[in-house]
Amino acid sequence: MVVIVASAGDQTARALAEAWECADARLLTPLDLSLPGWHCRFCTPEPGMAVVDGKTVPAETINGIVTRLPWITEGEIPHVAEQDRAYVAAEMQAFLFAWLSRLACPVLNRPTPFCLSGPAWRHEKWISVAGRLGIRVRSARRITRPGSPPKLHSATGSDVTGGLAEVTVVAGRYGGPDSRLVEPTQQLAAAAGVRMLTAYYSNHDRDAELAGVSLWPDITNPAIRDAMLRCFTDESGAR
Amino acid sequence: MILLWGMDGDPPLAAVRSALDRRNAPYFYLDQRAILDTEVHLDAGADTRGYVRYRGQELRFEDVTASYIRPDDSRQLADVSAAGPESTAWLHALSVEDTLLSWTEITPALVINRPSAMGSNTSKPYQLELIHALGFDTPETLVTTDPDAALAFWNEHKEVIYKSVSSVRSKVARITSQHLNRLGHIATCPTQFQKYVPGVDYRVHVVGESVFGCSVESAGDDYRYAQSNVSPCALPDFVAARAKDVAAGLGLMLAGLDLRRTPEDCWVCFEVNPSPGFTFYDRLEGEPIAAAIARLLASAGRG
Repeated sequence: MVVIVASAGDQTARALAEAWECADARLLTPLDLSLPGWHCRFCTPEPGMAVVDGKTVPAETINGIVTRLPWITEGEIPHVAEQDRAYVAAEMQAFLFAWLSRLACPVLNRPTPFCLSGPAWRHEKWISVAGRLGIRVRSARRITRPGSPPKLHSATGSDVTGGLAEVTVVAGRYGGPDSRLVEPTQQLAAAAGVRMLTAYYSNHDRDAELAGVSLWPDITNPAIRDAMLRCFTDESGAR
Repeated sequence: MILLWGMDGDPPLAAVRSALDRRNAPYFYLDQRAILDTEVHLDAGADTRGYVRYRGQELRFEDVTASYIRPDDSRQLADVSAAGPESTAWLHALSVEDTLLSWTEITPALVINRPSAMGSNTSKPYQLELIHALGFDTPETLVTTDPDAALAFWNEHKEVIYKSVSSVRSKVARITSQHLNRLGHIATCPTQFQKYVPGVDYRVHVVGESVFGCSVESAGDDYRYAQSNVSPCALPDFVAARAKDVAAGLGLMLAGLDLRRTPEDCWVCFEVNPSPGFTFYDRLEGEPIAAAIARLLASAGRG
């Protein structure tokens, strides 16, 4: 079974689960954390039980995980009393993070304390780490002065995609169309401890500057989907 | 230069500031309460540059060798809260806070502690597995949404406590028969249960290579909410060594470990606080914990 951790409203994740029917892919949403059946004894080798798509499953039957959901917000759990939602969302997030962290199967990407999809690095951190690796970067600048709105110079977050060269790496299996930029992207992924990311560069040339990074590659791209699925099938067989 | 950043009046920050004064060590004190008068500029590339200005003073980030940070949520400040979400003041405060936090993650300076290193505390069972892997005994722990599993755990261990999974502060309490008719509620939210561990509480602070222990005598299941007596004490060498290993393993230069010594002389670790309010325990003359933090800050960047 492949589990896709996603928001209940994430239609792209739902489509991925349908496309991966052959791998018994199923969605795990925050609503599953409000169902009886979860059972995990920490600091023991016991894999425990999980609830996926409404059904209780032994955790050892999971061959791979995709983490599409960065964190659980109050909006994900409308069935919980309003005054309790912030607390319950924090508890669910803390548990899901701990549970995902202890799984032996491949996880794209492994969660960190502040983001279930990988390191919660700010734009400046990606740029700084890349710069120290010797990758050409488009520097990031922030200016905040009293009485005036904060200013960001250089593209950040989701604003970076327009007109840029995009390179995605998935567990060393997929490099995207521009092979010259694959190596620095793999270096950056290794430095960040992630197996899957998309890097955006200023152009397709050798002198391209890194402009931004996303932990959420385009999973509608068949080549990326194939690389992810091969990661799960190859590595779960090797365990 | 040493940067101190936090709320004016915060006891640990004040204690470290006093300890630096006693050492005549220079520092730049950035009071978070003056956030609306603070200007910050950050350039990130292969190098990190920028500055923070307030009250007519300027600190260049390139000059910072060490930092002790204790920021609170800026949105809770009276001026910011009164201005309301999306106001210029609100956006300014969030931007200053986020820019400074961003700097702490990319600066080569010593930071006590980097927010990313403090993250393990956001999930108690996650942190517990790290503590266990680093050598300490840990309490048997179940997180479940299954009332039958919780009941079986209680029957197995007889004495069981429950507490929050996240870093949301909760009062540790023992399960009693009065809780049984409420066990069904756990189906809505993963709930953490632990085998009750009898014994004497110890709080151990690690500051770099220094370790400070104190025992806590209390009749409560959670001594933070009960009358308690705190006494500085010596620790067995292996406990001090393990405490240092845990702090180092979590990437923390300063850590507060909650331990309990059982009647069988087993040392069980429950949790590590990455931003401990150590002043409650720092009761010996000369405030040795604050002095050790000041020493660590002052020694950074001197090769």
